[in-house]
Amino acid sequence: MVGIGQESLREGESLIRVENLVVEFPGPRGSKLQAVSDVSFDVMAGETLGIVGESGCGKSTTAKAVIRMPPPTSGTVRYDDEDLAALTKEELRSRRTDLQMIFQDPISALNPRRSVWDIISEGVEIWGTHGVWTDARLTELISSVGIDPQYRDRKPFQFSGGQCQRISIARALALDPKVLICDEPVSALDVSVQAQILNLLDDLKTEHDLTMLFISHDLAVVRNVSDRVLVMYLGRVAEVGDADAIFDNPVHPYTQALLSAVPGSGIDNDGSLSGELPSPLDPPTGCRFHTRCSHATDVCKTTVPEFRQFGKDHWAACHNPQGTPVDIT
Amino acid sequence: MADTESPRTVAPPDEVPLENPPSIARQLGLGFWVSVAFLAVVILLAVLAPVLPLNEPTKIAVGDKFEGPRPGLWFGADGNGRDVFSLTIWGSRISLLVGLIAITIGFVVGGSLGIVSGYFRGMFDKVVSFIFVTLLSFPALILAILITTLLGNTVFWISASLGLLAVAPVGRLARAQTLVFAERDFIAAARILGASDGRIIVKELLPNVVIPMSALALLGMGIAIVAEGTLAFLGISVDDGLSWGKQIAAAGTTRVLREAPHVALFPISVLFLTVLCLNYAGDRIREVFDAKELSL
Amino acid sequence: MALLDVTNLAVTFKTPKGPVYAVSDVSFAVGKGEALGIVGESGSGKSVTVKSLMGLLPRTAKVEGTAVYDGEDVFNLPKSRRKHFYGVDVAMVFQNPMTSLNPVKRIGEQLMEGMRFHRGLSRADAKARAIELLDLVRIPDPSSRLRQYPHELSGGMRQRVVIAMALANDPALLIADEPTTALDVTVQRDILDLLDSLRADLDMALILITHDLGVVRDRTDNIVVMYGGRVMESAATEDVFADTEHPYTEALQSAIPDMSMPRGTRLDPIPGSPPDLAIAPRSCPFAPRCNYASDECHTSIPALRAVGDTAVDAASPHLFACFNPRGVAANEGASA
Repeated sequence: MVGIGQESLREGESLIRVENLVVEFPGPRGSKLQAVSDVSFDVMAGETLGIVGESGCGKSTTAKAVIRMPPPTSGTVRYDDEDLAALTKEELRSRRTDLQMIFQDPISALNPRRSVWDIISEGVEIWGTHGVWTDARLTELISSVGIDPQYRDRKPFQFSGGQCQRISIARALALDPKVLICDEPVSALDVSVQAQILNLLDDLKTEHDLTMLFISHDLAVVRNVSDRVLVMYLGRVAEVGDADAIFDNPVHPYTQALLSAVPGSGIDNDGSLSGELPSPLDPPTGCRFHTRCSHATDVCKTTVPEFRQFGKDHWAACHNPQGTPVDIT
Repeated sequence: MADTESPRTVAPPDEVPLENPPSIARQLGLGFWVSVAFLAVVILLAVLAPVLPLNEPTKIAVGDKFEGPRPGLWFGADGNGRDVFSLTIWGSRISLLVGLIAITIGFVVGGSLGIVSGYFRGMFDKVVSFIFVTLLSFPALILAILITTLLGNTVFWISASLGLLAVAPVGRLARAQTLVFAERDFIAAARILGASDGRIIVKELLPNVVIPMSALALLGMGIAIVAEGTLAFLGISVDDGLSWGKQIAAAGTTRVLREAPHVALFPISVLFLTVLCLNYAGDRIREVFDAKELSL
Repeated sequence: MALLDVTNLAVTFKTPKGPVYAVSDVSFAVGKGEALGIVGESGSGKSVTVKSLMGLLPRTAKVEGTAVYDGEDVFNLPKSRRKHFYGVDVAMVFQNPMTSLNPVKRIGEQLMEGMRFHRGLSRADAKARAIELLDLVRIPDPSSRLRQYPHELSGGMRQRVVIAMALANDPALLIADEPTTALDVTVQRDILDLLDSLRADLDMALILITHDLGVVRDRTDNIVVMYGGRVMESAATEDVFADTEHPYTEALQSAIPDMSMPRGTRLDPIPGSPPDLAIAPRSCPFAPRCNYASDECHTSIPALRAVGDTAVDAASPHLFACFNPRGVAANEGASA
């Protein structure tokens, strides 16, 4: 992808399995903007999948489509072997507790008129305590994210950005979710606070047995947290697989360009990105990356590349990969 | 507490949130409370008018014709020798009631239409927005005259016609505020938690939208009171009973204004101060809460 | 002789809740054609520092200290000089290109406006110069771009236009405040490379303000690290990385993940949050979050001092403000 196909999907029990996901938004003058075009991926229980790419590549939309915010235009999302699209509104609402999310802007994510306690206990208010979520446990949760429970009656504006993100995390965890979607959770935070939140997420992942979708434009952050990585470009997947394989040995020219752009990466890339990101309203034919790719050939302009395998868990969709495909059967 | 090796991240970082800000009451300031006190006195007098030791407002020749203010006849007497002070207090009953009913209608109808249409968007929103635009385009006075002529100039219909005029401005504000807050991630977060639409509207949106709305409601009440006066000037006023509008309209002739300005001046001053206090109080509410929003 | 010499700059804001000490005792210099990086997080005072130089602070700000630009006192410029000082001698590029551009005006008009105002160029000359500038910032097909509106350009292209506008009158000093923070990494590198090459080609001094040490690492001659409105460390760029003295500078480097770290590497976070600037500074602002803080850090403000024998009046002395330095200065036994 920047092709399409499901070759990268793995056998076995995946917690989330997304097939041929398409998300369209209404564009200007009746046109359709396809933010996500035919994306397939899967996430095993306990895994962290990092989704990276430039702004407008569809990484956030992909993750949000998993929780049907908004519902995908087509394609299937299976959670725990259940097609989410087949559920009734009420059934879907009850599955929501399993799939929670934290946001980029911690200030925007908290209602300015409600107290910390109200915010964190909202989920329990909605669903009932089931005898599990006693006030004592909620208090414990608040302190486990690093907020002193004595301040539970204060309002969000009295806290720093980092603390607001902690409150937001506690709210998401109060329903004992299985999956946590993290949409750029540290990019709005100060450099000195980012590590606190990343370490906290790491601790909580172990403690609560979380499966994570971690969206970020910061490749160093993604490298730090991810087991697997999905590299997206203009609504399609360029490369997907084991994080080490992708970061140490990228084969797609786009992944290589992305990695070399990281300040201090030390990678001196001859194929730095040329030209403009094409409009998603009118994406290029064939491989969508061909307009900016220094390795593009004629076939890239006409044919959408299929996934090929480059390692045990390493797939890329490129006609001219910077590595040798392997055939593991 | 998970990881004993790195207790620093999990233990509360040595960080204290900001102190609670001074109470809202303090932030609203002296001017606000002076306004509220004045309004309270006006309302109290209006409510207690039947039991206060006032001259019968309709009783003529309590004083001399156009007699000036004196002890016992604080605001003087009008052309029929009626007690202007008593007239003003009795008149406030209907004026305030009209203002209150009008703005309640505007607040409830406009507010709920605005919030619901702003939250759900779609076809309903288009229809509601069109209704608001239509209401705003219709000449306000003619609408009020039309309603009172057709349905009767009782307190209720006068209030209702003024309330109808308040629906669009209040509704549009509510809708605009809802659109702003509906974009915020905390609404998405509530939906992801499984909150129903009703719960989101009541628990998440309403507390944020109601503040600017109530500021506008106070302004609107002032406008409704003045509008009642305007209608009275045009000869449309409550069919029976007194109101500030009626009182001022009666005193608003050139002859009275020239010979005995106090007859008009006192009710006008009370009306003016009441509306000023309503506007000022509304403005302060908006300022205090806006500033808090900005500090986020 | 430095082009811009800032000495003991202090900026205090008057607020209803009392003064906010945004910048205290900040000194630095930029030589002709040099690049200086000012690094700090939100609340470090880095943006307030340059805004004071650009005359962009609100009236509630009290500015003390001196800033001398090429022999002129920046804070006391005559009105007639001010008009042409900003935009001609010194120009600035802001973080968000969209806010620097007027959305309802064509790119060409916006570019030509400044030139015609400052230099009285004719329309035709200004247009020729505008095309030249767009070409300089490597915008393809410049003449057709003149007719476009800002919203028709991508974020990166917009920032190039903003840079072109800043360069219109050949400034001797360009101040770029987080010029790439709002942009994608891939575009970020292009913009930084562009600024770098423009500086060399036009012999222009550059002040690059950023929260990211990685951004200034390969592109500046000197670095000033700010925290809580004060200078923590200031030195030639290679010295800052080769011999980090201040614990804050050190923490900044280790707190963020690095591409070379294997996955799952436990990060070494800085506890707590940036300081409250409403409290008059009486101690090291970093002390409450510092792993090496000793008693004196909480009671007195460490003065800037030089590492070893790099004299304070050297071209780029390695200065730091810390009682418990982490680099070679730790072994000097000079913490007296």
